[in-house]
Amino acid sequence: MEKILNQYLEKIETYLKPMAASERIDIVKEIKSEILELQGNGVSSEQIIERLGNPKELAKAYLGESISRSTGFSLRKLSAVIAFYSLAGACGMFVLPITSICGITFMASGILCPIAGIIKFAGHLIGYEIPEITIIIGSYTASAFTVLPLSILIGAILFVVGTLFWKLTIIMIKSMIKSRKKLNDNESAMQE
Amino acid sequence: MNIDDWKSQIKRGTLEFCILLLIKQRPTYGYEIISTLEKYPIIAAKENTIYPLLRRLLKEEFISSTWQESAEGLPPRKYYSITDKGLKYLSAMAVEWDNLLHTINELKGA
Repeated sequence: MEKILNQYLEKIETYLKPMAASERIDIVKEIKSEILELQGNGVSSEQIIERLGNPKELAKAYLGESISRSTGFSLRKLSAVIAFYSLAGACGMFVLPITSICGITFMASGILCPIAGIIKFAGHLIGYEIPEITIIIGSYTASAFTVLPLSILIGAILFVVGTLFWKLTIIMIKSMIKSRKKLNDNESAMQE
Repeated sequence: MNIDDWKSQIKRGTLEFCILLLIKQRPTYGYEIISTLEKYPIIAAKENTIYPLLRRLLKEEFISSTWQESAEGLPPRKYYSITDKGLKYLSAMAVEWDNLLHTINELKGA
């Protein structure tokens, strides 16, 4: 295969790094198969690359489709989101990092807060007071007993806020894919 | 009046249905699907739409795939075929599709 086509496939492969290796290899193999089909029909390398479009856009379409399948959270998905916003231009540079990082931080805080509450409470039960863990709201300081339910409540609120930020991230990525599709449609309509 | 906007919305909403119908006829591969769709401008779509869509249908187990290292001179092809789950999904879609056509016919006052 010609050098520019190989380079095209290598670029796709690089942009798809956050996907599982087996999936990435399969995607590249399928695009390669498409390129060979087109070559078999006498399409030139330049035309093939024009037809497949910017490798960044193609990779983004794959990442976007796999991100938007559900709003659930996983580390694999987080790396896909990060890769997507590194490819996604201005909105990706500012808004998506903020919302996704807020999402993760709030979710993590939501989990840590009740754990701290449990540690404090357990310490109190066996006679250790842990002054490092406490809840102070204005002039009110929670006692060892009220720390536990309060920390669970605050943790739950933080977790919900985090989940909302994460969903917002996914929704924005979805709408970005939609507007991109629209652009593509317009482009192809103009070509016709 | 921008009819193109509306057309692209129709395409987006029906492409999944069209692709499943195509795959149901017989096992087929990406390039063949794209070439077939190209014959019908209302549902024609490019590689960067079709391949990610096929991958999603695979993940949702509506279709399955096998690589075929084919005969001399031909590239290996990834063939897609429909699953039982896909057939069920497809027939549910067909019901809604008929429902839509029926509704529109009625609204047209036929």
